[in-house]
Amino acid sequence: MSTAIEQQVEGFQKQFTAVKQEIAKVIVGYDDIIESAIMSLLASGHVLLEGVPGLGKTKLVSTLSEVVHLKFSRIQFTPDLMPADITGTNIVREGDKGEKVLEFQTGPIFANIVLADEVNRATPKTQSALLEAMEEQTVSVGKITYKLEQPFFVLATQNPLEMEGTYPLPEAQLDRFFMKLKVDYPTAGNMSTILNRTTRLEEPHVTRVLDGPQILEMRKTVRSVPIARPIQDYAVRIMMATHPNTPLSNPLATRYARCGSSPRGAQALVVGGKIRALLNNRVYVSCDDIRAVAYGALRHRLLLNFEGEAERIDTDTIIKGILEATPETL
Amino acid sequence: MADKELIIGLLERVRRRVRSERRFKTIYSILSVALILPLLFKLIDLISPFRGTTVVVFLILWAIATAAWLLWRTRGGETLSQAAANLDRVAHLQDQMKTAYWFIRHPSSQSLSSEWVDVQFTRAVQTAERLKIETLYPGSIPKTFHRAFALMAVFVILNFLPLSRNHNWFYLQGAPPFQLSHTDQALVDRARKLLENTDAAKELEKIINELQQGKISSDTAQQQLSDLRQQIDGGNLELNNILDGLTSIANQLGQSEALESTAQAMSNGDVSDAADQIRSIAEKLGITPEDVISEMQKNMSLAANMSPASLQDLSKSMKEAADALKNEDPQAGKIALDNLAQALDQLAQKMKAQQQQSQAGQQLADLQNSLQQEAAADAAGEAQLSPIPSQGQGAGGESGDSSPNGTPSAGNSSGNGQGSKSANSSNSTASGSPEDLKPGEMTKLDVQLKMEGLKGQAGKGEQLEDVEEASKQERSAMDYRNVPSQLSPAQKDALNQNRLPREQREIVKYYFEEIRPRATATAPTK
Repeated sequence: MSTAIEQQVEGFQKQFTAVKQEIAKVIVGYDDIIESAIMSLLASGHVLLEGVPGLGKTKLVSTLSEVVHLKFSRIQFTPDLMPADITGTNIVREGDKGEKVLEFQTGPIFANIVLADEVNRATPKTQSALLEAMEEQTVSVGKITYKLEQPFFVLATQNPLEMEGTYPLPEAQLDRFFMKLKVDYPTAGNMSTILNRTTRLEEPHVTRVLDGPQILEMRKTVRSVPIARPIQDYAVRIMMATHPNTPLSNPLATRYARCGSSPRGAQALVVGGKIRALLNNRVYVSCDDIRAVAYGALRHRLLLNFEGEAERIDTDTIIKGILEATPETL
Repeated sequence: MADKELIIGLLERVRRRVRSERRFKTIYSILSVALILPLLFKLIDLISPFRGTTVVVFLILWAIATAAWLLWRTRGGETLSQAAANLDRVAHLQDQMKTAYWFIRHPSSQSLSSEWVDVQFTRAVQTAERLKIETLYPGSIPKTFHRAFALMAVFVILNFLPLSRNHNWFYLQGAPPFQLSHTDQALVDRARKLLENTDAAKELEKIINELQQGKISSDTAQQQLSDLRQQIDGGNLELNNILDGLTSIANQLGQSEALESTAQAMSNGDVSDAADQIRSIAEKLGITPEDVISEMQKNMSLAANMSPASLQDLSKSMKEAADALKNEDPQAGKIALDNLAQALDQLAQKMKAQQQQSQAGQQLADLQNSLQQEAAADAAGEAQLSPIPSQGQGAGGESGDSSPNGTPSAGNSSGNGQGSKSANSSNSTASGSPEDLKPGEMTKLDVQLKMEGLKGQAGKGEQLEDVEEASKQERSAMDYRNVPSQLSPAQKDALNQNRLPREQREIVKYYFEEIRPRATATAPTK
């Protein structure tokens, strides 16, 4: 029995590594971004990628969709984009007998991997079209609710620089992202490799190494990993420390945070920790795993107050303070 | 089950190690802080020694406080869960033992992922078998141990420093209840040396010991020193009698030409020289003319008859010598004169001893004064802490203490009237301007006045007679040295020095007796 689980763990690692290596054929550097994106896929979550234009965010998502052999759709969010443009709409069609029937025309959200490019450029009304799909994995049009095909994975990108004419994502939608990943500039060494790969005739080709059922199986494996109560309590303490004015609050959070993480943050810590444990050939979650995923899982769930905004406090700074101050055991 | 016991056994061992390490670390940390206090206390003790009681009380309080602190900090123990967390941290096990122990303690939580938990548990057992606790938790000396050890070493060294004012706290030693000052100690040492091998030396030793041990107070010690000094001064009176007697004898012997040098030596108080002179006369007795011998015999006989009682031995020897010379037996005369010289030698030794006792008495007087000064200084210090009841209180007495040239005088016993007069006569008194000298409560000096009879004085009559009647003046029964004075020992010493030549003392005394006002009696001092 133990051997079967160990084989399961081994298989998980191999599949994860295969996906990562295939993406790495196209995307240079960003190992942690790639790993976190795959983790989010396996955790049944969604990813918000934030970075300046031209860093390969869209390329990353499209490459991922190619590697995992899933249906991929790309939505370019613009201010005039309407919710129906995302979810789809009922159209009037003439039937075989000449009668008029309403037929639902699915939108781009009906895919396994959805790239919501520059998600903050659409109006809040359009942005909210993603809410139901991201959390319940369903789309309601009129009186009919359509279930989305599994796995369903949204990768949204946003540009932190161009604030004019953008609509920051509401807290409710931000909370639905499993992780928020910050894409930074590549290093000089990686830049050279990027130029070599993208300025020649031949472009790197990726092979599909994972399909939908395999992803669902991997998701089950992730959920099977046990976590001891002390480790879970540690995750809870970290999550509670992001809240201002609570007994477990961190002083930094009390000073700069308006609102802390929701329980989804703790869920992300635990599930992310489980994946990381499997990747490290462990069958239990450790505090190190929780700490490793804390930045991606909490940075978008921690909302700054006026003082924090005025002093341009980075939420990562608060999370760092929380991780340093929160004891592993009480 | 055996696997669980293996893990729990491992955690138990870790717990013991962690606990002992924590306790050692805590103990040395506390000691390294707590030892600073006695060390500082000891350093202060070297400058200003504490009494034994103070030292004992401090050490007991310090020991209790330190023990309480130690107990408080070392109380309680680590749980196995904490031991598992510690082991995870030390061996970099990434919470493997913590998780395994938690699943051991909570088997019901395994229902959903029991197979995964089994795998985790199996791996934890394998890790536990591989771990070597001795390597992970090597017995090491905490850093604080060195600091505590260094402080302890300094403390021990300070206690065993061979300094006269140092007291070893390990033997619960402390400064005596009364600490003699360096000056006092020097006075005691000098007096002790002068009184060597005498009963007075033992008495002095007893007084000083009892004073230092707190068995007697400073006042009692002063009183006992005063008694001892009076006892020694009794010898001084005898010495004066001897000197007076020697003067009388010298006057008589000086009538003889042969004994003139002997008389001169006696008159000068050099009795040893006088003995040598007698021996010289004895040597030359065979060739001395008879008339000279006769003259010597006559004067010796007269001198022997007029010798005071204190010179009985000398008188007897002189009488025997006179008798021997009278018999015209040179051999017997020589022996008698040798005996006389021997008697003079004995007298010289006696006088030397008396002089030493006299000097010792002076040392004791100085010591007594010094103790008085210290007591007065202590009292003044206490008085400064309490409010002054009346500004005019003691103004007369204080002004009486000050002489016109601004230096304090020994007029403390002169009372209110004299003090006021002195103060009015000069504006440069030590007590300030005359405006400050407001009448207040009269100075009270404990001089123990009493009535006494006066001896007859030389007057117009032909014979001196002692008249038994009450004196018209009161006189203090207390020795003037015991009257509290604010003079320093050096000032008193200067005042006590009698620089009058001995042969002129009677003249000076007579002069002052003559000019003493007889008609108006001084009002008794209250």
